[in-house]
This record gives sequence, C-alpha cells and structure tokens, in this order.
Amino acid sequence: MASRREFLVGCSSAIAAMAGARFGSLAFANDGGGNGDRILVALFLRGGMDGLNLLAPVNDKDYRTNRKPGTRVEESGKESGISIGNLPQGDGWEGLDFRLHPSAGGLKELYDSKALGFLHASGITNGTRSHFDAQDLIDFGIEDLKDRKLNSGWISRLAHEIGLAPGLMPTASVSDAVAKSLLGSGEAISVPHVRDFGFVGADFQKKALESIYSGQSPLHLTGQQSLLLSQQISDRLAAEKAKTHTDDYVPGAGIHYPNGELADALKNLARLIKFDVGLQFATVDFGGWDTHVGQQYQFGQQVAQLSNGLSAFWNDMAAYHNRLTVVVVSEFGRRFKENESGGTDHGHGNVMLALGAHVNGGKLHGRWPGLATEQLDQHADLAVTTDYRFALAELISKKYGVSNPTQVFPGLKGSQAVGLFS
Amino acid sequence: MARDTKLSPPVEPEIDLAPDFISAAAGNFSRRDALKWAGMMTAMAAIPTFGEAATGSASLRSTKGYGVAYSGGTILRSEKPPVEVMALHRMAFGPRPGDVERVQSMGFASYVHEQLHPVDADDTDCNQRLQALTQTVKYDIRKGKDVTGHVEEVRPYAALTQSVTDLYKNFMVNPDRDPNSEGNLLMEQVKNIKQVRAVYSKWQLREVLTDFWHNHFSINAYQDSPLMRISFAAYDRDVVRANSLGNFRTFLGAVAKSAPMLMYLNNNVSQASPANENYARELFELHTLGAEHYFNDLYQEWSKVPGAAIGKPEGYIDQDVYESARAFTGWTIAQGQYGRGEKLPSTGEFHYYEPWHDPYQKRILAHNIDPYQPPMSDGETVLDLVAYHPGTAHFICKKLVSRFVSPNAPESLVKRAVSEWMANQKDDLQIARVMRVILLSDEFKDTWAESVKMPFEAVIGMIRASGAEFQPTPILSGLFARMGEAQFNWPTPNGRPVTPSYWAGSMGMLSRWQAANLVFASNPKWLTMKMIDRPAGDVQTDGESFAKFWEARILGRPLPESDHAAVVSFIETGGPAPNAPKPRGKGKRPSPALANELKYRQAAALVAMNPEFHVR
Repeated sequence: MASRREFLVGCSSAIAAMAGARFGSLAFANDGGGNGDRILVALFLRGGMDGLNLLAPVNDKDYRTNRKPGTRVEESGKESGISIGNLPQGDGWEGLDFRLHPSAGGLKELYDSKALGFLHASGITNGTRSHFDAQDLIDFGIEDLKDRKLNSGWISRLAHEIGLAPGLMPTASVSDAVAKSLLGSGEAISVPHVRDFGFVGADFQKKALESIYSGQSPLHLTGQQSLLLSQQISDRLAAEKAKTHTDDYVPGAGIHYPNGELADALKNLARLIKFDVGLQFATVDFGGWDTHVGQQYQFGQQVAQLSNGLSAFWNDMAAYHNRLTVVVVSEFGRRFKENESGGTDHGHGNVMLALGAHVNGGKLHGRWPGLATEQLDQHADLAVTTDYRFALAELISKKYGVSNPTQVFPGLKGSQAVGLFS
Repeated sequence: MARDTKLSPPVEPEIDLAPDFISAAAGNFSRRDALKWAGMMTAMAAIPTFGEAATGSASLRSTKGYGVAYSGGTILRSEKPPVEVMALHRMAFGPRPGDVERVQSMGFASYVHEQLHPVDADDTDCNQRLQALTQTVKYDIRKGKDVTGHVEEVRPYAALTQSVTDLYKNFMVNPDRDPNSEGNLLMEQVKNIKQVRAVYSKWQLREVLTDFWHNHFSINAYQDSPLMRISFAAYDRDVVRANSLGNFRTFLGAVAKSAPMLMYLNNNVSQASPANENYARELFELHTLGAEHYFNDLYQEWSKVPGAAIGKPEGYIDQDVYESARAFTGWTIAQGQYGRGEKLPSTGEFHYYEPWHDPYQKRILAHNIDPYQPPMSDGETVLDLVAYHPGTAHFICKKLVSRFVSPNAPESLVKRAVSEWMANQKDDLQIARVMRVILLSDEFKDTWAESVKMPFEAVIGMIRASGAEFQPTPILSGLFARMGEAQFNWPTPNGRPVTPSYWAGSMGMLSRWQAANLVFASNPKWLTMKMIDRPAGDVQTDGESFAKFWEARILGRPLPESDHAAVVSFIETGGPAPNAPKPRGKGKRPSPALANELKYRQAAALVAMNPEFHVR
C-alpha cells in the first residue's frame, strides 16, 4: 500500500506526463497496447437497490411469504418475472427459479448475449445499514471507515497502481461533482453535461483569467484545468456539430436511449468516450433506490431506466466492446421482510452486475445462502457470501494485471475465486 | 438602499435575448431541469462574446501539471482580511455597499451581538420588499383530458402569512385549485422569499443559519405529493427560520411534527408492524448523533456499547433505530386518509393516530420505556434522548464550526462550543449562545480560505455587491440548479457537503465564472436588475479607480497586486472593439457606448471571478 505522500507524488508525475501529451495527437481509439485502451465505468446505484426485487428465487417459500406483490418478483400472472436459467451447479442454487423483474427485459438481452453477468448475495462485509457510511466504504474500497483518512478512492488507487496513460481527461465523473471513488486523483473532473462544459464569456476575460489563475493554490490549479479542458471540449463539440448539424448528442444508428437521469448520464459518457479524450475511468451515479414506501411503482421505473439505459449504452458503444467494462453496485440490499408501508428498509446482501469486456457473462455467480430466518444476516437480511471486493480484485487482476489487490482495497484479507471476470 | 451620490446616471444596455428565454425559465426547477438550461446558457454565450473571434486563441502553458488534490487546509494562499471583512463573508452573504464601513465603525463584537438578536420589525427595507411581492398565476385545472377550470390572478405571497391549516384549506383541498400547480407556485414563493431575504435582510446571520439548518434537516420538497410543497412554506417560516437561533430540542420537535419531514422520511405512513425505519434512521444518523456515533460495525449487543452499562451509551446501534421507529409509529398528518376502518381528519396538521402505534415496551439508548405510554410519549422520549445526548452536541457543533470557520473544524473550538451547548440545553437561545462562542473565538479570526462559498452564497454575494436593484426570479433558481445547488431539492437526506473538493472542481469554476457574467454583464431584464453602480470618471482610461471601486464592493478588500493589475489592464486595453461585428443570434451591433458599457460590466464580473471572492 503506497503511503499518502508517495501516492500524491505518483499522481503528480502521471499528471505532468498527461499535460505534456495534451498538445500532441490525442488519438487513443486505435491505441492497441498501453493502458489507454481500457475503459472502466463504475455505475453506483445510490440509495440501496432492492436486489431481492430485481433478481430473486420466485419459487422459494420464504420469499413468497415475506414479500407481498409489489416488492417481489412474481412466479406467474401478467407481471411474472423473466426466468434467466443457467444456474450454477451446487452452491445453494439447486431447484430455484431465479427471475428478473419484468421491467428488466434489456438486462435479459444483455445476459443472453453473454455480455452481462450477475453476482448475487454479494456486498460489503461491514454490517452498517447507513447509506452514507456504506457508500463511503465502497467508494473508498475499504472495510473500516477509519481508512477514509487515506483520502483516496479505490479507482484512484487502481489508476495509480497501473499508471494512467497520457490523455486529456483520463478520469471523469459524469455527475455534479467528482465521485469519492476518484478522490485523490488530481486530474479527475466532473462533467455533468458535456455541452455545458465551456467558458461563457469574453475572450478578454478568459485571457485575464489565465493570468489570475496562474498560481499554485488548489483553487488556481482548478481554474487552469477549467480553462484548458473547456477549450478542448468546445473544440470537439464544434467539430461534432459540423458533422451532425445539431447541439444534441446523436447516438449510433438505431440506438434509442430512454428518458431519465441515468440515460442522460450515459449519453454524456458515450459522447466523452467518442470524443477520444483518453477517458480510462469514469463514474456514473444513479439515485432513487431508497424505496421505504410504495416500492412497486418507483422500483419498476428505476429498473426500466437501468435496464433500457444500460442496453442502449452498450449498443451505442459497439466499437468499444473489447475495451469497455461496466460494474454496477449499490451500497446494500434491502430488508427481506417488507414493512407496513409497502416498502423495504435498509438491508445487507445484494446483487452486483458486470457488463462488457472480461465479464463471464450469461451466468449467475456466487453462493446462494438461502432465505430461511436462520440463513439471513442478523436473522433479517440476505447474507453476504461474497465480499464484492473479491470480484473487483478479479477484475483488476484480469483486466489490469494488478496481482496484489490490497494495493487497491486496503485490508482485504484472503482471496476468493468468484468467476465473474475472466 | 444606499447609493453613492457621485455616480453617473445609469444606462440601460439594449441587449436582446431570445424571446423564449424567460418563459423557458418560468417553470419549476429541479435538478433535472438543469438540462434545459444548457440550451439557454449556450444562447447567453452570444452576449458577452460579441465582437470577439470565437476561435479561442488563448495561449496555454503546456509544461505545467494540473493536479488538483484538495487535501484539507488552505485552498487559496490568500492574505487574511480584517475580521470585519471575514465576518461579512461568513455571517452574511457577502458585503452590500456600506457594510464594511458599518461593521468597522460599530466593531466586530457589537456586530456579532446585533446579529445574534434579530428583531423582525427592524428590517424595514426587506419587509417592504417582501410585502410588495406578488405572483402572477395562470393555469388550467384538468380532470384527465378535460379542462374543468381556469385560475388566473395576481396574488400576494401566501407563503409569508398563511398557517399550515390555511395553506391546506386554500391550496390542497380547495376544489377550485390544482394542488400540484399550487405546490409548485408556493415553492417558487419560498425560493423568491429566500432570495429577497438573502440579498436585503439586515439579519444576515439568521438567513445564513436558516440555510444551514435547511441543509441539516435536508428535505427534497419535490419528491413527494403536493402537500409537501404546499406545507413547505410554513415549514420554512415557522419551523426553520423561527428556530434557527433558538433551542435545539424545540427545533427538533417542530421538525419531527412537520408535514414535509413526516412525508419526506415516510413516518406519516409508519405503522406497527414492521414500522417504517426511514425517519428513525436519519434522526440518529443525520439530525442528531451523526454517523460518528453509529457503532453498528463494532457492536451487535446494546450492552457492549461503551457507557451502556451505566445507562449512558456513547452512541447507537441498529437496535436503537428499530426501537425508535416503533416509538414514532402513529405520528402522521391529518389529511383525510383511511386508518383502521375510519377516515382521519382533513386539516393538514400533525396528527397522532393511536391505532397505528406500537404500544409495547422499548429500549432506546439504554433507556427503558414501559408499555402503553400516553399518546406521543414514546416519540417525545426518543426526541429528548437524542436532543440531549452529548454526541449530538459534538456532531452539530462540529458542523457549525465547519460552516463558519473551516471544514477542518479545529477540535479546540468544537470542544468549547460543545460545553456551551450542553450548559444551555433548556435555554431558549441555546443556538445563539453557541454561535457567539464560535464567532468570537480566536479560531474564527485565525483561519481563512479553507472553505469555498456554496453556489447560492456566491451568486447572492455578487448581487449584493453589485448594488443593483434586485427582484427575485425563478431564473435565478434555475441558475442554482445548474450550479448543482437546486434549492430545497437536494436528492438525499444528508444534505450537501461542505468540502471544497465537491464545489470547486473544474465544472464548478466554469459555472461560477458564468454566473458572474450573468449577474454583472447580462441583460438587466433578465435578472430584473437596474443598472449596476459605477465609479465616476472615464472607465476606458481610469482602470485604477475602477478596479479599486469594485474590489471594495465585491471583496471588501484589495485584490493581490498581480490580480489587481489584470483588472486594470482589462479596463484599459480589453473589451470589444468599437467597430465590433454584429453578434451571433439576435443581438444588434453594439454602439460604441454599448460596447463600453459591456466592457465595464465584464470587468466588474472579472473581479467576481477572482478566486479571492470564492473563499471564506
């Protein structure tokens, strides 16, 4: 584990290298070797996605008695779930009929095409039921909240470990602010909307700002970054518009993104990737999963957005399939037994999704712990049988050649073959 | 409003804007609406850039690294201003013309004392402006596809005066009104009232604290049914602003029984059993003890929490959350809904519905509650337990120090604030007393530039400094949304963070610069601002006096020498050429007078774009 000082120094030299490369040719798309050809997208479902309403054993007696219609996937009827088949041998899966939420048709297509894999009963091993603590644990890639003092996110540490390839925008959050998983990455920026990422003002002002922001304080450096990147983005937007004759993003032929927050973010991400700005690590947040009440309607809407959004994004990114991996996590699952207001409270184990290159797709992974009271975590929630970091450890080993995962996930003990990534 | 007497007469620039500009902005803004702004702001780009080539030939340094790691501590190597100036950037939304002189002449300690004891009657200018506000309302009432009614009128602001019950009666259950439209209209009133108070109220500290507490008890008013938005006006006024300098236990109780909070955290539908845990969870984690006192990952048994053996547990675990959720079952809102085989009253007020309550014994924070207590007693006991807990004192005092001094809250000061908090638990002015300790501390004077202003604060600060005549506008609410701080619309109950790394990224800086141009250098029709003030003299040649004037106005202190020189040089050599070409879009070719006017405004904006303005 690099010390904080080494880490910052390492970061700075990576940034210096990047800055040096900014004015040369910035064509990364055909870069067959190097680090720059791999793109990792971390999609965080914030609020605690109810994995037991997304993918569940519909023929399990405990499931049917603890969940009422509205918080469960149905076995029959008009709204019955989509059976996924192909369950692993052993590991607790025998005899169970795992089905996806009826709005998850897009996920089923990705699953059938072997691009998408599921890891169930996974999550953090820390028992917290606090959204914000649990999100921090995942963003920081840690097990003990005290390690937040490292002040660096897991993606930053991974980027440091492999060394970022030179690029204009190697790491970005497609959200209002840089995600904590990118904390400590000096070059990380947030681009909520590509089209807004510009300087709006007079050129004379811009010149004055270049002088005013020439210092070395953090705020000065940010200002310099704003001036430089906004110009580069503006240039690319202008070049794009010359071809498309519109300010809007035009996805690949036949691709239709749904409406909504997630699809907007994914469209912006697709645009950035196609701009060839050297993007290697990106984060996307999708909130609205905290379904304490009236889960049925809201959860259905959320799942439809997730499913259709991911599916459109994946198809839009056809030219990047061998370089692109998307991991989808949420801070925790939800309480097994639903509450008296048609919702579910904070729980524990959950399902994690992985899409793209290096994914062992078309399969359900993990070990199913069962849903009888004595099999539940705290007798209340789906147990975690796979620390989600073991799956990510596999990813960073297979995709990035990082063999010691504790460099990225401090305190991770032992190892576990998960099989989600190959 | 005090205006300098030697100012030249105002000139109204004739800058055109797209005609749909205002209507596009007149709706209800949420974070998602930020998207719509993209197009509008792009249109704005045509205004300040006319006369300039759009190719962008800026020379950029190619050898320097751009690593920006905010690691705590100073974010700008900046000279510490006098404490009176610091105060105006921390306890107020920046100085208005004349403020620095006033605080200097009365003395910092007297200013703190004054601000801790607001007197509503003594705020004449702001009160008159609030009373004069009207809202033009025009909408159809629809049932399915049919239009069944039409509302068209100009109204005074109900949000200023009406009680929860009146708001409910007039806008929620009135068959001649559409609750959804009315909810949005009332939220627009609340936002506009906030803007007017932030710009004009003499009681700036109370406004800053009202914003702080809204964020502490963060509610996304747009999340739920219209009742949340309709009752939010009373919540803002009678719960948050009224208690912002008062007693925390009283405040907490008022929040717990308010319709917006009951709805936001779902307690209004919580009944036995299992109870809905949403409110109880966030009561502990966000409103009182804070996650720093959540011991769940360490303890599964309540008796193992440090201090539990002697009845004084240092923190809480999940069991405390579960039990508290049970304690609050039956705390709901009377809105005519069905209970157990009967209809509840329909008043919009807090209502305790016993049949939903879980009456059995509970153990919370090592305190036993016997079964079958009197109505609401269980919940009130929980509120006592958490409000008077020393962990709460620490969590909230640290948060106050983070806001008013530095996100790296000095523990020495937090400790003194905690003692004051604990010693005044039952005092009506508990929060004011704690604030006095914080504001008059050495740490307050000795710490500078470790915080970044929030977008709302920065933009309101620009408007205050401009000295312009200001009318509130939903367009400004849209700007805040675009800058990531949509008002009363934060998506999660933890509220926005205070860390500079969150607010001062590259996108954040771009949007701050853009906001400066919008405030200082856009069409006055847009912000309904009258022409901004100007110093006497020929602005084309007198860069020195120009820069000094605006530095004093915007910052309350001089800029560093090199930044000052950049502003002087901008005035003396910058700006659009007199023979500028016709601007893009619908703009007219500027006359030489207009070109000068625009340069003047852009230069004032440049002072507000300086990093010195964005730190506190």
